[in-house]
Amino acid sequence: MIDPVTPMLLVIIPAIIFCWHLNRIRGSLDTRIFISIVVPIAVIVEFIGVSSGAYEYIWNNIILNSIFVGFGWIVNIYPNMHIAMATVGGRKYYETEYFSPKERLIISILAATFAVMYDLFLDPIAVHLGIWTWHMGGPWYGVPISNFVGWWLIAFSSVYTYLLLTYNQRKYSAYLIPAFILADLAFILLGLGLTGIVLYNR
Amino acid sequence: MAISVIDDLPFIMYILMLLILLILGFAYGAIELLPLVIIPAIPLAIYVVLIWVRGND
Repeated sequence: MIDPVTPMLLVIIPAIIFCWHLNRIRGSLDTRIFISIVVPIAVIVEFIGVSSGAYEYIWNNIILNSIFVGFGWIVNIYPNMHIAMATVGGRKYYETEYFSPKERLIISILAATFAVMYDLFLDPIAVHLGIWTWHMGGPWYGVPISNFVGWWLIAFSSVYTYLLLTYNQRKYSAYLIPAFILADLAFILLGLGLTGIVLYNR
Repeated sequence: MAISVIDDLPFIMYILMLLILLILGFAYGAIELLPLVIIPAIPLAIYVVLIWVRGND
């Protein structure tokens, strides 16, 4: 089993670099919006996942788990979102101020799919290293399908909400941002709940 | 087209992250899992083709 410090550093360092990069290309407001969308959603969803007993992390400590998943989801989403946005908007995608609803949808679907493709490699390796342990078995090297459904939903709704708030001609009031994030969270919880019901009834 | 640190940083970091996972997987004996890296390499290949081969700026 890997020592607990290594995986923590492996998410904190890239997450800081990604936040610096976003700040460099889009400014501090976009960076704050991105962090405020991704981190709370990730922490809450992972808290629910750990509380349900489906899996546990190497630290077995709620504070360290939250730090890990908060930084970890920045690392999971940002490079995949970058590749999806460059695929649709070109290399200088960040210079545009607007993506159409169709483009936002395509970018979000691509980013979420790329994130799941990343996890198809990451999850079996992380389980082997003992960073987290699945208590429910699954068909993909012991990882359940619901994990990948959850990854897709978190990545899709996070990216879509971020694009809606940033690459949009309509400037939303700062007061609306928490409302969007709550709606985003409700969507994820609904999706996870429905997935859970489907899996439970199988 | 040349690599740009600003434009391509997340792409470069993505490759580094995969390399670190490969090294850790190798070091901890997960040899049978290493070929799975082909799956997250697909988005990277898409990026290379679109951005560098086709020059989609």
